[in-house]
Amino acid sequence: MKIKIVDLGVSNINSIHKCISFLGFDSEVVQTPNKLIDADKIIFPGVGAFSNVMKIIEKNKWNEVLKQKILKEKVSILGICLGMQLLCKESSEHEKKSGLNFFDIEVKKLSDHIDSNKFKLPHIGWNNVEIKKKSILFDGIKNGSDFYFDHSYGILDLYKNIDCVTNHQIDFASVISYNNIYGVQFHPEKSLDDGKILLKNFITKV
Amino acid sequence: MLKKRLIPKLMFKVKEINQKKYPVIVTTKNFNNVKFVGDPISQAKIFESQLTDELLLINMESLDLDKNEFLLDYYKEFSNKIFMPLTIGGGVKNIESFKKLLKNGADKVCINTAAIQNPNLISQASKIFGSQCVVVSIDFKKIDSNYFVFYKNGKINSKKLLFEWAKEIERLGAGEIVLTDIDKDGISEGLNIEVAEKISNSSKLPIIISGGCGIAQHFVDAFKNTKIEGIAAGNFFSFRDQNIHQARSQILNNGIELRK
Repeated sequence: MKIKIVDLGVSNINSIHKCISFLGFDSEVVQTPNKLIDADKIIFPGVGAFSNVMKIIEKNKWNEVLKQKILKEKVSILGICLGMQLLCKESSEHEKKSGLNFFDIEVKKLSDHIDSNKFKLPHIGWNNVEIKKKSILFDGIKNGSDFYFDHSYGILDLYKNIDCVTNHQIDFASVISYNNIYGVQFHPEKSLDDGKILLKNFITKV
Repeated sequence: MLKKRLIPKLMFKVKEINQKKYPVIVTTKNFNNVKFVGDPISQAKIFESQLTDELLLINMESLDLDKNEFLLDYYKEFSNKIFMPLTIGGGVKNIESFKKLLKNGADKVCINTAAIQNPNLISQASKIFGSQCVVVSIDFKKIDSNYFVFYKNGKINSKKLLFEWAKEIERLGAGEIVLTDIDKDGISEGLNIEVAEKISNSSKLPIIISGGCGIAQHFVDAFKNTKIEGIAAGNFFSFRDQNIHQARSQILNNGIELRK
């Protein structure tokens, strides 16, 4: 099985790569879209600003290969943090910008919806993940487990594709899925044991 | 519910042993009295197993990342062995430094002197990497009745007023603030609750405070009386392995939530 990690050059790819080898699997960090062509599983991490990263994706034509792999070949993808947000329709981060549009969901600025005098933003740290819909990613993980978050934007419309939510004054989506497409708002590679179980589930069970 | 965070602060200096350069953790008192106490990676392993929440790894000498490639290799090795959230600081000058650190294992980047010398770096970095990646550390000292911001490892008074600088950092787009009271550093007599309260009440950003933890009760006092999100400690966590367990249980016994 060929696990490929997309490296857009703006974030910490090393941790996810090492975490996967710790679990006993080989993975390859890829910097160009043509290297995704033979992927069996795609991990799409991300830190950064949505519009800036989307520009990189469009410039290097990642979107075409991703569409081919995910929609046509039905290869499973796991978007992590900004990676999850990029799988959505659009975001208003810094400037309104279209995403990859695998999920018909909008990404919103948390500070427009949360009273950050009381609930500090960005949302950084460990928070509970509440399971709303049985998800294969959460096999062997207890409902309400803590995962590590670090983000200022999120998915607040909770009517479709939502597997798990997390609360920071309001509920936002912490896990989304649709067929072979998965997204997590937290960082499994930084969430110790439960994070490793989740990654293993994505690699072996999805 | 978002949990409060306990953050070991690994301040290191580089020591040359058999012509090879090694980062070694140090502890300080008022930013002086440097004592070498151990290896960052083996210490971080202990912290990882003790349920601390994040690590702050600071190159205290602010060695230039361009001229000290071995540091980047070291950070990479560190993050290959430690799976915790990691913030790296020291020697960050520009966007290129951010890129290098993120590429070699940092999840967040901490700036201090660079923020004073070039405040626009905060807004530039937050536009490129997202504000959640930009941590600004502020070292401060009380002179007469005002708190002033110091930089260059606490040596130079920037003449900026602490509370104004904290506001300015927030306006520029930082994602988090780490506050350290230079006079309380290494003294073990408690954190600066007054400053923590004032800034955490007025800022929308997560506030981390540091400097002065000596007993578990100091953590409880700070969490109970302020809206801070986390406490960073160097000496307190480094000298006795049981300190983290004691601090955690005392915090939990006081009804303050930590990660399980």
